Amino acid sequence: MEPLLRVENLTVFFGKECNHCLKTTGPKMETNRCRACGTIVACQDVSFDLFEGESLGIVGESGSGKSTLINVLHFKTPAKGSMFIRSEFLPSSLKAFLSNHRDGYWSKNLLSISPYHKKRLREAIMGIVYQQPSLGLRMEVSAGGNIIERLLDAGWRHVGLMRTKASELLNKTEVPPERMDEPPRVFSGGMQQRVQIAKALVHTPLLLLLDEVTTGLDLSVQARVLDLIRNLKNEFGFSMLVVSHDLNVVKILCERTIVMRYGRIVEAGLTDQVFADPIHPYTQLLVASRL
Amino acid sequence: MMLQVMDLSKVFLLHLLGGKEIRGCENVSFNVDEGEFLLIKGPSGSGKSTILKCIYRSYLPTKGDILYHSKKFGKVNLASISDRMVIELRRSEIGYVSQFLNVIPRVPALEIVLEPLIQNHSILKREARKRAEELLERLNIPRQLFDAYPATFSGGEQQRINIARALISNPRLLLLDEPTSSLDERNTATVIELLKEIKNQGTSIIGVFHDHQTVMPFADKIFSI
Ligand SMILES: Nc1ncnc2c1ncn2[C@@H]1O[C@H](COP(=O)(O)OP(=O)(O)OP(=O)(O)O)[C@@H](O)[C@H]1O
Ligand SMILES: [Mg+2]
Ligand SMILES: [Zn+2]
Repeated sequence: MEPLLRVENLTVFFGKECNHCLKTTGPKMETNRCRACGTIVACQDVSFDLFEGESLGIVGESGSGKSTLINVLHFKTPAKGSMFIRSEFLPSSLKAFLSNHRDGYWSKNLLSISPYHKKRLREAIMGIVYQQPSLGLRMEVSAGGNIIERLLDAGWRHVGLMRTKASELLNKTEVPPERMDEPPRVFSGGMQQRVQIAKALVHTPLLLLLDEVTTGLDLSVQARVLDLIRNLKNEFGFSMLVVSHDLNVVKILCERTIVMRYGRIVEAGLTDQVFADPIHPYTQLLVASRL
Repeated sequence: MMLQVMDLSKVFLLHLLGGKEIRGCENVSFNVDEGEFLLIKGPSGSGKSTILKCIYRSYLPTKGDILYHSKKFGKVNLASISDRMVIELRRSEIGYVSQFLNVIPRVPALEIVLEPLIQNHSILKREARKRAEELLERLNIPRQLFDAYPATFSGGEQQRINIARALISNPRLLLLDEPTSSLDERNTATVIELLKEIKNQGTSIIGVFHDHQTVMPFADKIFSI
């Protein structure tokens, strides 16, 4: 029972950084902004393991560092610390470059590989879905085109095959394939999210990153998107990192939950334990104020 | 020895109430052997559910050890092993039935029941379906409910869905918190028959029952609080 992904001591500063930054921020100080230099400590010493096929929830209020964490894992935001993947899960074309030759079991620290390798690894093993469809989709390009773009990037050339693949994926995410030539701009919010999900699944990712994917949708639409994600996960078996400020989302999707506040992990545990027996004062507040 | 609870205490520290402490259970010790049924008795609020939840790790014990002889990992302390190990044990060895259905809305009854089997990856979906159907039939759940959503089921039906879900992976240790509280006589009798069977096959059971008279005859031990 070894993890798929191991994340150690992720730390992210937004600002010029001084030696008061860590002392003046965090849950005890009730801020993430350094009093001396104004730097934002978005994440500090965040560590966790993610297992194969597991869905891990990250909850906390806005500003707690949840999205920063997702963006670090997606190689979009630089961070201190380390992130390893088990070598056996590296795509074969990247094994030679990214395996750790001394260890063999774990990859190199993925936070310090070249931007080129980050991009290739991201394309090969990750999918991401954002709260705002415009971050994940090109709103003026057709739904099918959004998916075909990723196939083109991966070297696909045959138009017929690409269209078939795109329509299969849209079908799986319950977007009527006859609408694949329309741009997401004209779709409803729930349907835009389903196109994003289809796009994230193009290369059958090992890791799906979900950043507040149901926030802002009507309740019944939220329910449908959550059902879809659950079913896709059962079918594909990917691991997920589910960021949400809505505890219900995490309760439905995740077996384990991490609670963050002002950039730090304040509690981590089995989801049912975190809800039934929250230990940290902040978690108790969060659970008590749940709708 | 299947399970050894040693000096288990749970104190809830309520920060929102100015650090108020509530005693869930205190210095609880007992042993359960393979195939044994331990009945827990005590007045309302005495900590019966708390003990079961600590064993299942829905509550984090404050003090004490819960030694469990696992098939998968050997001897482990349920009070301190990793969350990940607890997840594995819940999938394959430890079942828990509460009074309330605590599952995801909009998942059909049959899917809820077979989910633990699928997560085990040990079995084909077709095979899992068959076992789930047999179990639900055994528990007198009408066929037309198999594909319906349990959110709208009666209390007794929900409770039987819970029982089926806990039993589907043939747990070695079964934790029961008033599993028959909403059942009529006939269904209570069916459930008890089923429990006797799995006990005879070696499953250890720790249970709290609102009406102990019905289960007393097949309890091997009683723990009174
Ligand atoms: N999650 C919790 N947070 C705070 N206090 C709790 C929690 N769970 C239980 N308690 C408290 O712990 C004590 C024991 O409760 P428990 O539910 O174990 O009793 P019980 O013996 O199962 O009672 P009943 O027969 O009414 O079901 C009670 O005072 C209860 O209020
Ligand atoms: Mg109780
Ligand atoms: Zn500073």
